[in-house]
Amino acid sequence: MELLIQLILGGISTGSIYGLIAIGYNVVYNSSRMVNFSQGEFFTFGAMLVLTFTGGLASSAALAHLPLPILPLVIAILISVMATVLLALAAERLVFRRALKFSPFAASNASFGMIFLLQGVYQLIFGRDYYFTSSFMKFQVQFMGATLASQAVLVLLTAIGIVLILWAYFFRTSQGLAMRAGAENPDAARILGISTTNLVRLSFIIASVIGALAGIVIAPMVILGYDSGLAMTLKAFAAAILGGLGNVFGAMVGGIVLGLMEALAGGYISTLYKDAIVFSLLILILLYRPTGIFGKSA
Amino acid sequence: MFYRKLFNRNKAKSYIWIGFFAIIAIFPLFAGETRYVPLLVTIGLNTIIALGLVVLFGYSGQLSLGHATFVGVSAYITAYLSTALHVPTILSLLAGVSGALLVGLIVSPILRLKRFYFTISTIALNLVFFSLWKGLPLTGRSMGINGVPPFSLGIITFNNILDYYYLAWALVALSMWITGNVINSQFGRGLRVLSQDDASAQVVGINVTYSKIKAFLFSVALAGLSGAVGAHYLRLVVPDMFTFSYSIGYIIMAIIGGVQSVWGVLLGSMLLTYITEAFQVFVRFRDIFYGLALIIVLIYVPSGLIGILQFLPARFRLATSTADFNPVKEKNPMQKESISLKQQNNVEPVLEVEGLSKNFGGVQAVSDLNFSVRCGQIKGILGPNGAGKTTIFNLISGLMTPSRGKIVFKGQDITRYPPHAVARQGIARTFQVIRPLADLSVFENALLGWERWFKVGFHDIMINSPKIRRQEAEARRCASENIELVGLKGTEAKMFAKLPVGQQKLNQIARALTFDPDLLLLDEPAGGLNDTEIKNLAELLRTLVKRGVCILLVEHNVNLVMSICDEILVLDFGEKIAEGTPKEIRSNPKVKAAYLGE
Repeated sequence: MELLIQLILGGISTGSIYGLIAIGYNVVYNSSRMVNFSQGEFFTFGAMLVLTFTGGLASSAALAHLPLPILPLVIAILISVMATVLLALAAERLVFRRALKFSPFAASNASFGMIFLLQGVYQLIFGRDYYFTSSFMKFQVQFMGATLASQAVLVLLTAIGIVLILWAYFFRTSQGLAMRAGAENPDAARILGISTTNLVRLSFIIASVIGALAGIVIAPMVILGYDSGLAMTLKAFAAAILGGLGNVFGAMVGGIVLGLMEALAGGYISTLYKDAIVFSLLILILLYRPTGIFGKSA
Repeated sequence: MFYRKLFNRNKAKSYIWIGFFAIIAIFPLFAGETRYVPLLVTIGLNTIIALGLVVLFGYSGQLSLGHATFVGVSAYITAYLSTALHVPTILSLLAGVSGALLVGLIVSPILRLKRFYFTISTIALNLVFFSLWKGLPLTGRSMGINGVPPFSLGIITFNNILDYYYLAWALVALSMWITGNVINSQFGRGLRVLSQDDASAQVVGINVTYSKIKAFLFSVALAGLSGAVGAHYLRLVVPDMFTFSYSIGYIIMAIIGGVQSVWGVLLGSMLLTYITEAFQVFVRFRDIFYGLALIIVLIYVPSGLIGILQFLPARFRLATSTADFNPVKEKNPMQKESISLKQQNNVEPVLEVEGLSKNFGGVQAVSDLNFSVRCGQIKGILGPNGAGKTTIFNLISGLMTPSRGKIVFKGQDITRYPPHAVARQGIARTFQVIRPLADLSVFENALLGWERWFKVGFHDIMINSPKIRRQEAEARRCASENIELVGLKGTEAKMFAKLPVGQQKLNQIARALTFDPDLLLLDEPAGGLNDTEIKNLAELLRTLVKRGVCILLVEHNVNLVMSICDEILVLDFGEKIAEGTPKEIRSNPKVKAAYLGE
C-alpha cells in the first residue's frame, strides 16, 4: 500500500512535467497547426543552463572554460529561462516561420531536424557528460506513510503555479483571448486584425518558458545530458495526444495519466523497461486512441 | 550512326554498371590493406539500408526515423543464434532477416498513421528496442554480444576483410538492381502517386495500405540484410550501433543522393560515410549537420524526395521519357475479351443505384436516389452547384460510404467496397478538381491506368521478370495509343502538373482509358476547355461509346450534355427532379424551374 501511494505520488509529479511540456505542444499547435517535436529541446537547454550558471558543468564542456560567474539559483533560473526564450525565438524566426509558409506539415517535419541541430549544438557547448544534480532544497513531506522528496513537491507546486498563470492569461487577458480566437478559427482571427505571425511567436515564447521551467525543476530527479530532451519530447507528445491535441489543459490530465502509468509500470514490472513501456504506449495511443481520453474513439 | 548506337540509353546504363563494379572489383589490388577497404565495407553496408529507405521515403513518402531498429533486430538475432546456439551463420543470417521482417509486419499498423504521426512512432520504436537491448540479459545488456563467428557459406569462411568487401559489394550490386527494378515499375509509379494523393491511387485500383506495407517491408528486409552481415563482419553487436542517430544517418544518405536513381543513393552513402569516418573532427559537428540537412530537405520536400523532381528539367528524369518505349504490335487479349463482354451485355443495366442517400451532419447531400446506367449509353447528370453531383461519384467510387442505399455494378453489390476494389471491378473515374500529382509525366499518368491489368507478384517486380517486361510493354503501347486518342500526342514527356487545366483533364481521361473501364465516371471534363476542345471531347466520348464503354457524365456545360447524352438525370438539392432523354428534359417544367431558373 505504501509502495502504491509512493508510486502514485511520484507518477503525479513526473506526469505533471509531461503535462507542462505537452501544454507547450498545444499552445504552438493552436497558433500554427504545427507539432513542434523540438519542444523537449527547450527543456534540455533550460536545465543545462542552470547547471552551467550554478557551476555544475564538467570541465570537459566548452562553456565551462568561459569565465562565467557562479550565480545564486534564482538568478540563474531567470537568466536561463530568458536565454531559452531567445533560442525559441531564433528557431521560430529562422526555421519555423519559413517552413510554415509551405505548410504546418513541413514545419512539423522540420522540427525533427531541429532536434538534431539543437542536440548537436548542446554537445558542443555543454559536452557529452551526464549529470545527477542535487535538489534545490532539503526537506521531505510525509503523506499516508509515503515520503515525498522536496524536489517532487517543488515540481508539483511549479506545475500548479504555471497552470494557474496560464489559465489567468488565457481567460483574463485580451492577448489570451486573441490566442484562443486564433486557435478556434485562424481565418476569422486574421480578418479581425489578429496577426497570425505574432500569435505563433507568442506561442513559442510561452512554450519555451514552460519548457525551460519544466526542465529546471525536474532536472534533479532525472539523469541530465545533452540528449535528455528526446525522451521528454516523446513522452510529452504521448501526453498531448492523450489529452487531445490542441486541448491546452487536457494535456495536464494526459501528462498525469501517463506519469502514473509509467510509475506503476516501473514499480510493478521493472524500472529497466520503463521507457520501453511508455514508448510502446505512445505507439498504441496513436493507433487506437488518436483523439485522446476526452475525444471520441477512432 | 555508330556514335548514336554506342550511346544508346540502355547501353550507357550498362556501361556505368560494368565500369563502376569493375573499379570496385579491382580496387583492393591498389588499395591493399589501407583504411579505404574497411571504409568501403561500411559504405556498402550503409548503401543497402539507404536503398530501402529510398523506396520507403523517397517513393511512398513515409519518413522513418527509426530504421536502425530493423538493422539491430536482424543483427541481434543472427549474433545470438550463431554465438550462443552455434547455428550455421547462413541460417542465422536468414533468421535475422526474417526476424526483422516479422517485427516489421507486427508494427506495420503504424503505416496507417499519417505524416509525422508515423515518423514519431518510428522514433518511439527505435527507443523501445534500444532500451530492450540495453535491459535484456539475452542481448547482453550494454555489453552486447561478443565473439560473433565469421560468416561462412558451407566450407568457405569469410575471415579476411577482403572477403567482406566482396560480399558487401556483391550485395550492394544486387540491392541496387532490385531497388532500381522496384522504383521503375508500375508499383514504383503507384507509390509516387499515393505519396501525394491517396484517392488518385485508389481510383486506378491501387490498394494503398498493401502498397505501403510492401514498400515498408522491402526497406525492412534490406535493413535486416545489412545488419546481419554487419554483425558477422564486426564480430560483435552492441546497442550503441543501432541508436536513433544512425536512423537519421541512413535517411540522410537516402536524401542526399536518392532522388530518382539508385546511383544517387550510392553517392549519398559514400559521401556521408566518408565524411563521418575519415574526419574524426566531423563527428562533433555530425548532429548539427544532420539536423540542418533534415530541416532543409523536409521544409522543401515534406512528402518524399519525389517532390524534388518537379524542380528538375525533364531531360534529367529517367522513367518519364519515352526513350525506353518500344511499341509492341501485339493486341492485348484481355482487352478484346472485355470488349466483347460489354457488347453481349448491351441491354442489361451495368450500374444500378437504389435509394442512395448521403448526409453530412444534418445536410442531406444526396437523398433517396434511384437510377441506372445501361451499356453503350452516355448518361448525363445535370444540376446546379451543390446539387450533390460529385458526391454521387464519390459514393459510387467508394471514396465515401453511403448513409443508406445500394450500388450494384455488373450484378455485384459494391456499396461497401473500398475504392481500389470498386476500381478493380471496372469503374474508372476522373476528378473535377485536379489532384496534385507534381512529379508524374503525361505518359506515366496514362500508364497508371494499366494497374488493373498488371498480374504480377512482388518477386516479378524485384527481378524485372520477362512476364513484367511483357506487361509493361503492353501497358506502354496502350497508354501511348490512348494519349493519341485524346489528342495529347507530343506532350508525353511533359509534367502533368505543368499542363493547362484542359489538357490535364484529357490526360485524366487517357488514364481512365488505359484502365479500359466498363463504366467511366467523368466529373466535369469540359471545364477549362475551349470550344474546339469541347467539340473534340464530344467526338471522343462518342467514339468511346461505340467501343462499348458506358459513361456517366457530370457536366455544367448544358449544350454538351444535351448534344451527346442518351439520357439525362437532373438533380436539385440531392434529389432527382427529372430523368429522361434530352428532349424530355428540355420540356420538363420542373427542370426549367429549378435549373434554368424559369
